[in-house]
Amino acid sequence: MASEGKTPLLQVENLKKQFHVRSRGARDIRLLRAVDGVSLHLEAGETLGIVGESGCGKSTLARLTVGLLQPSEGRVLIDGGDIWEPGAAGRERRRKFQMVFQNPSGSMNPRRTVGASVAEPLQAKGVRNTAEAVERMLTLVGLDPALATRKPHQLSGGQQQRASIARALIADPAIVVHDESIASLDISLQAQILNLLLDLQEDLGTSYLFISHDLAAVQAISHRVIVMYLGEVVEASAAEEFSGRPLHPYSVALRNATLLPDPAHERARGDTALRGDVPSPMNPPSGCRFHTRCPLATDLCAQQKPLLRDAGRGHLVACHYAEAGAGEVATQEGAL
Amino acid sequence: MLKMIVMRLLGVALVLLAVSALVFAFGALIPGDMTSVIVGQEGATQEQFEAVRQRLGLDKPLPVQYVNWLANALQGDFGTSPITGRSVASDLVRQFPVSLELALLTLLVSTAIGLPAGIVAAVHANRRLDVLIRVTLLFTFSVPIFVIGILLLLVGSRWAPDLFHVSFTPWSEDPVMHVRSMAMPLLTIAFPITAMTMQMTRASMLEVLHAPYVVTARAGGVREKRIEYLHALRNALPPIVTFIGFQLGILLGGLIVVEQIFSLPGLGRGMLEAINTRDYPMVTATTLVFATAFVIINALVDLLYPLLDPRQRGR
Amino acid sequence: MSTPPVLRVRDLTTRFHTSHGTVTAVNGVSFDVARGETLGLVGESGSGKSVTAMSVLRLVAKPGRIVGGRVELNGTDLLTLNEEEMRQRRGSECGMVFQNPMTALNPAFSVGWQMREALTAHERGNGTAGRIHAALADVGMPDPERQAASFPHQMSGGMRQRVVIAMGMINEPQLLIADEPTTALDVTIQAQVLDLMKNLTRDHGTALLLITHNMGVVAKMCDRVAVMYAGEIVEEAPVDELFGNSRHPYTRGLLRSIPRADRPRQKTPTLPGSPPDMSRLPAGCRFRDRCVFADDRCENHPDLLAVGARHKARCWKTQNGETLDETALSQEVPHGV
Ligand SMILES: Nc1ncnc2c1ncn2[C@@H]1O[C@H](COP(=O)(O)OP(=O)(O)OP(=O)(O)O)[C@@H](O)[C@H]1O
Ligand SMILES: Nc1ncnc2c1ncn2[C@@H]1O[C@H](COP(=O)(O)OP(=O)(O)OP(=O)(O)O)[C@@H](O)[C@H]1O
Ligand code: SF4
Ligand SMILES: [Mg+2]
Ligand SMILES: [Mg+2]
Repeated sequence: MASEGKTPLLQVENLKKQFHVRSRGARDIRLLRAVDGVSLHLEAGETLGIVGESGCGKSTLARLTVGLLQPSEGRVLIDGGDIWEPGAAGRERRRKFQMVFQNPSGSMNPRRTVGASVAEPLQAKGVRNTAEAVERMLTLVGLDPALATRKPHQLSGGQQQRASIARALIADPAIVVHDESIASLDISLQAQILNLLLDLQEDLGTSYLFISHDLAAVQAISHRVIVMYLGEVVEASAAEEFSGRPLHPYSVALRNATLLPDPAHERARGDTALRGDVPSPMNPPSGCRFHTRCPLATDLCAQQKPLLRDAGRGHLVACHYAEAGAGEVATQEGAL
Repeated sequence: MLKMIVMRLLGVALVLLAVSALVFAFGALIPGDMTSVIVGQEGATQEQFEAVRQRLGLDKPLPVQYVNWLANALQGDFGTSPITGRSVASDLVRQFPVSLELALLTLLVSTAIGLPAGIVAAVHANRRLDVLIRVTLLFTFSVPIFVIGILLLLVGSRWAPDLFHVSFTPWSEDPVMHVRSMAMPLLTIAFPITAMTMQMTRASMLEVLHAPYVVTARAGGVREKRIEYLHALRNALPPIVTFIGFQLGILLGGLIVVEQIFSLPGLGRGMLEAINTRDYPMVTATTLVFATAFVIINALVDLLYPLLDPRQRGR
Repeated sequence: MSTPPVLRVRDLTTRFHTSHGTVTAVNGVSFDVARGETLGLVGESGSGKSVTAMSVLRLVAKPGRIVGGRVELNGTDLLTLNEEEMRQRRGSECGMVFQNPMTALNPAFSVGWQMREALTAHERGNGTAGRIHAALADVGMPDPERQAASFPHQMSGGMRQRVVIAMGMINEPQLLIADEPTTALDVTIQAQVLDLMKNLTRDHGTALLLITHNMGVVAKMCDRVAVMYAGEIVEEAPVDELFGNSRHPYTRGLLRSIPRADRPRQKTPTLPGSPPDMSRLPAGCRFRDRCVFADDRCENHPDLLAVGARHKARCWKTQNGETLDETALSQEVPHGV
């Protein structure tokens, strides 16, 4: 994917993760391919958005990327070096990541003060006097530094999420991975946090991997967007390009299902729903994994797996009929 | 389902094998052995000692001893007690029904009272009825079994000597007397167990009474009693059943005390006596019986689980 | 509208007495829902939407108590009924759909059993299997006979939510209350479930009270919208009017802060601050601390007054025909505390 000559900050190559699961009551163990051959790259100061439905492997990908999980196959490279290289080199590389999770209250130690939690990554680096840095960081994320002495439960959800962002950024990480970091917040808070992230990125030059099932939120913050379906990347493109011309029929469906705050437009739209449910990753469909729900599917789709190919301007898509699907978007979304 | 039962039984057999090995090992590791009991501590010559050891097979290596012991045990032969001179198995056969009756009656009574009491307490959580039930039952729970037992014994023998017959009478001799002789031991041990069942039921019910599906049922106009006793109870039941199975362990300990206080010729009292007199074969055999009962009850509870919770059933 | 509304709520007030003090979660709320109409109830987390819904069916749990007002369903004030009369109306005159389909169904019983429960709670007699299968078919369930025999854990979230909707509709209630019915679902499944609810309520002429915080869902589904803030309704208007010409600063801020899929990497204007602590509400307008339009008048509590045809707002600045001055909005801090 990286067309430039130099190595990108983060490079993920053909990453796979399989879980051995035993369904309840059943005796046999089955293989669940949570992430199945994902490649991506991220430049310094860039935001890569990853969207997809529940269970498509977003969180697993996030945990693999930051080194919380070991891949079954594939590599995660930071500045060209493998994060799982044995010894200090690998450990050092894994430290370059920070992660912000969905549930702000669950990710902070309830018995420690907010200030102590925020200081943690700095202390892990061996910095002794953290008070000043904590104060600066809290101010930066728009929190009153006096809140440092409070316990997490004394903060509102939005304040807690700001504090976890402060914690993620305090040790100057190269990459911050957001796994649904704004999903549990109110719309007005979501907007506050998204703006905050944009500002901080401008000031600090941090790279974000921004994972969400909410296409609107992903597009609001990303330079590039990746769409996942059942453990695979089905589309990858610059955000601008993607917003004007989503190519994969699944991206189109996702886009159509994302409701806009515009009554006239919504009423005119009629039924746009995709048929059926997301198949189980334990038993993914043959050929193109989307063919069971795809409005464009033919026999070919059920038999032959489409590879990720360039549909022009670096816009990657894995679909036999992607261009046909895009035409449909143009007419449906003409109003935009 | 059948496959699951077979697997389960296999598991039980393995566990029992391990337990028997453990029980045997403990018996063998306790300082001193049966020989010293039989021959007497002092004045015995080395030759007498060796002769007895040989007769009992104690000179052989431990694993061999174990296999021999196990082979006999499987045929129901646990050896002869050096103290009483009777066959251990025959003693067990005599003691077992007494303890089993007491244990089953206790479970029956404690469940029959504790379960509804727990449900009512949960439904009336933190209101007067709940507090009343909890105070009454928890008070008895916090008093040790032997205190209740002795109190009952004193009260019973003083105020209602006709109602409570103190010395044990078997069924076969006089059914009425038998019931009377079992009443007080039963009361003694049933109190704390009932309190536990009540407490567990209440906690388990409280958890499900606030579950979203209970609200769904209520919003659908289902009658409150039906919600409590059907919708909620069905979901509260699995942990309660597990707990009742688990109580058997506590019950076994309780039996030892209660049988001692009320002089019931059951396993518990037999065990205590055997320990006091260092009657090794008796101790090992009784322990094995207790352990077997425990393992089998728990296996039964496990088998009940899929019946109670559809999510545990295979697809 | 000449026909009386199916649901008519007046001055509904519900309080929670907790160790931290008394919270008036719903404070003097009034609204109507007419036959065949969908009223959206929106607002920030904790603004009292769910408690309003639960109050209508008198399902508010323990520390909470309805302390005043009227809830008229087809002309009968539900708050004056005894418990048995109330029970008979739940599920038959008013159905309910809850947020989380994963927990709203009882895991111990089959789907068909639970649907039969919903039927038999209101009528004696048998021969209900047909009705259950028909209700499941109505919500687009493939193979209803087989699905009726399966347990909730064997179904996906979207299918379970269909079951919950089928259960809510099985007695053909005149009113359906749906509390965030699609929040726990994926967007593609959300679209299916919303289409389904729209068609069902249209076909049966059901009045729908739809609670959500997703303005896209409101745009798609609702005829009218009531916006709640800190326990009160602060604005009520027909949907186009609300999106096109909102007259309350909170609604304005809310609408402007929605991230738009069609505008990549552009800063969204935000609503600064966070909602007030419900146990320590400020005097005067409850939105005052976050409001860019606030002035001296706002130290007094404004009433919900008509600002146009079928349009009401609770704001000093838009009463007497004034309009909100949009230039004030540009002074907003990009990410205030
Ligand atoms: N530790 C694990 N053991 C077994 N299966 C797992 C494990 N973690 C995840 N999975 C499975 O892998 C798949 C992908 O899960 P993942 O959490 O990555 O999805 P996701 O895209 O983050 O979904 P969501 O939007 O619901 O968070 C799911 O089917 C999940 O059940
Ligand atoms: N059981 C309770 N005990 C005490 N306070 C409660 C209880 N339930 C609700 N409240 C209070 O009532 C207020 C309104 O809550 P409600 O659940 O109606 O909010 P909501 O608008 O539905 O929010 P959300 O969008 O998060 O569902 C909240 O401030 C909450 O603190
Ligand atoms: S009354 Fe005042 S503070 Fe309240 S919303 Fe209107 S202008 Fe803002
Ligand atoms: Mg996830
Ligand atoms: Mg709610």
